Amino acid sequence: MTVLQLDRVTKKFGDFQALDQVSMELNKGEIYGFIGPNGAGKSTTIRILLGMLKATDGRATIFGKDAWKDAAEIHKRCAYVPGDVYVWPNLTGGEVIDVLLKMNGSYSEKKRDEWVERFQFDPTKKARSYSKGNRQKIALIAAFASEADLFILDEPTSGLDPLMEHTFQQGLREVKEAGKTVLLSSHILSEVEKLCDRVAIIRKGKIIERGTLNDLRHLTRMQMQVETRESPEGLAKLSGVHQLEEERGQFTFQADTDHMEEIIDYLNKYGVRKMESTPPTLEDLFMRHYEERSSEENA
Amino acid sequence: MRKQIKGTRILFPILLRQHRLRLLLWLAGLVLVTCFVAYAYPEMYPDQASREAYSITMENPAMIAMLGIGYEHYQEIGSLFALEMLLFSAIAVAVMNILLMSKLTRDDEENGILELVQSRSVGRLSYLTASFMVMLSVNILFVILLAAAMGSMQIEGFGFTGVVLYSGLLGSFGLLFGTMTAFFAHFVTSSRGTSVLSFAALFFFYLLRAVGDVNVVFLSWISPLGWLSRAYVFVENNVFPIGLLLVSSLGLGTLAFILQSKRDIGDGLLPERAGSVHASAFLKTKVGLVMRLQKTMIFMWTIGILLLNIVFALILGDLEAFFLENEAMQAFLTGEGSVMEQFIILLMGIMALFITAPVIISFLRLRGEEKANRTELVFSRAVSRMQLLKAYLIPSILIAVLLPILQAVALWSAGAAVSEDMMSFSDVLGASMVYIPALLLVLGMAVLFIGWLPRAASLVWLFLVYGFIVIYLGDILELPDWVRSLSIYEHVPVYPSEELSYAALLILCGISVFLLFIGAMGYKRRDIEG
Repeated sequence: MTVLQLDRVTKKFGDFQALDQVSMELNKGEIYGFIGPNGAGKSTTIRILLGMLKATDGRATIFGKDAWKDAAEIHKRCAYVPGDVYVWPNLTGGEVIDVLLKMNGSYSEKKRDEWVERFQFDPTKKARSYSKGNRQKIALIAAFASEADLFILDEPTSGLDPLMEHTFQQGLREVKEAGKTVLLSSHILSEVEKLCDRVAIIRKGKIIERGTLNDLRHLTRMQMQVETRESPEGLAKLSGVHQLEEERGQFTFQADTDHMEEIIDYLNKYGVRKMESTPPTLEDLFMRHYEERSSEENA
Repeated sequence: MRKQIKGTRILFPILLRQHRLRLLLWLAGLVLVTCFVAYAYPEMYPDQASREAYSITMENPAMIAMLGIGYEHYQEIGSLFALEMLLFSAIAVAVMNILLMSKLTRDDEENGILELVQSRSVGRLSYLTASFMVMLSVNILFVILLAAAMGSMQIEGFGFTGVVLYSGLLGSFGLLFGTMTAFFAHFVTSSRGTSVLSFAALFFFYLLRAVGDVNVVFLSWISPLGWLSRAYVFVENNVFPIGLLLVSSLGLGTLAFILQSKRDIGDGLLPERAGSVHASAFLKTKVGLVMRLQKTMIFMWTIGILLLNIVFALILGDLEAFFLENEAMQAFLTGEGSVMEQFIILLMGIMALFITAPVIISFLRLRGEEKANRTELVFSRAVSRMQLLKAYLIPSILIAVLLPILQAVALWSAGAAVSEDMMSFSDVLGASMVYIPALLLVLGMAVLFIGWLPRAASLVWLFLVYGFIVIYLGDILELPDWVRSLSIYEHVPVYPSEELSYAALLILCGISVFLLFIGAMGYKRRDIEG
């Protein structure tokens, strides 16, 4: 079942094209990663989803309703955590959490207190004295303690310490177990890798890649380390082998996944003693996509 | 000791540079305003008769409470000037020093600058020493500039000794409040708290002096503001108030340094009060949230406007004498009716301009919240554009409707207490309330801007500024009618001296509603920045 859908959404600010035909579909119960560098259009996309910006073209729907027209209605079942949380400086943290929760109607005090406890948050201080991480906890507590079916998180952990990041990831897993849907925009690729079922990569306002992590890995190369009895002459000439390096009889190279079979057959002739392969991290994927695109553009 | 202030020599020029532009503007403003006023005085009160009239007004307890004790019946024009200017100039200088010192002490500590500096090979007292040197230099520079500027003008009745003493009083008063701010900075953990404490002290000393000057003399001797007029500047030229100011600065300064050497960085000596864990039922409503965010602003403006009304009401009894003797003032009163009626009509016109300010401030906060990225979190919850707009409109409308009513009550009751032939309450109320539609119209303009031209929203203030120009300078500049009619406030019927025109009021209300509606349409369909 589709919870959130972007259909060729375009946004222009004057002459500047912030988003170009962005499409995306989130199914119920999945965690969807949304990655891209600063200024790529992540926050603009999210603000269109929140009904704060009006798409120049295309359609954004959440729960089958129009994200712009029915914003307030949609948000009753929605929770949002921005990367930079700005709250009213002269209210206490506890007051801000209550005010935010109340804006969506009734809420469970027990659940709120439980999350205050889990994030080890002191709600008695004026919001102006909180650090970035603590202000983020305010938004996180208000999100986790509300009865939302969709979580929109825009770099939600950028100020949290590792312990609290763990609490956050734990919370996200519980949310997923409860069958809720999450859009997680993040810089921290290891986090996305750990949590997300599918990802979309955005660059300069365009989605350049999307799919499950496995899909994305197929598009790219494995990191190989091989030690053979005899030196594998001509390995470098084999198609699908890149960046071959030798060090004391150890060969390291990158292999295109669609040429894997031929490469292994070839290596077998030389008597494989040891072979290690590592799948590319999201970091590698990300970097490769970016480097390739920039070199294409330069060419 | 040398170890404690190591590095001061490097810090001092940096801190001075940090604040030089703002300080220069302050100094220029203070010196120029003082000189302009001093220059105008001999012309404003050219003869004995006008000074006598002035002295009658100034013997009124309300005036004494506001401005302090007068002396010598103003034989010297300087004493007249000092009565009107010394107290408020001293307050302005104190404000400059409070803002400067709370930035140099607690603010830099709060922002982590002090920590960064202290991590280098720098003494524990160096930052405070450098801060004091900046504050001291500013005050000394101010005294020199003011004395030189006023002295060189050689105005009659402003003896040179008096000029130097006047400048010295202001400078040492500034020093005292700069020092006091540094002292208070040790007690709280935020720069906001520091300046709030310091302003509260200033206000407290002002009240102490007001009561003291009217009734209980010894209270004035506890208040540094009370010391100022005891110098009888331009007449007796007593120097001892400067001595008092300097000695108390020295005492407070010493304490500030002792505390600095003992206190942990980032710590405040007053225990921090834990705030409430839960929001009250009122705060959980949208209007409640907006009201809570604005409560200090609304409270201060209400108090200020009511106090102004009470002060004016208290001089109502001496009005005739004052206006008959003062030609400059007579220019304002040209209409029909008794002096009191004309005065109240004029006063209500001016007060309507004052009341416009909190109405605009309150509503423009919606834009301020957007710029501070705080509407984002609100709109991410189940809150529609119209709901938030309404939550901001309600407090503004309440201010525009209730403040004129409250001020009429304050003006009438204080006036009735001192003057037997006070106007009837319904007339005062009417004179004040006729401006409500105009206030709503300015609010409508603000909504229009927020909806369609949010970046230019502060242009709404021009309506207020233009209103001031027309009321204050309209007659003096002989502005033609069509130029005046560009001011919203000129379309308000003059009540009670003329028949009340409901049509005019209804038209103003109608336009307001229309603007409000169009503005809301814009707000509903535009992008929200943050």
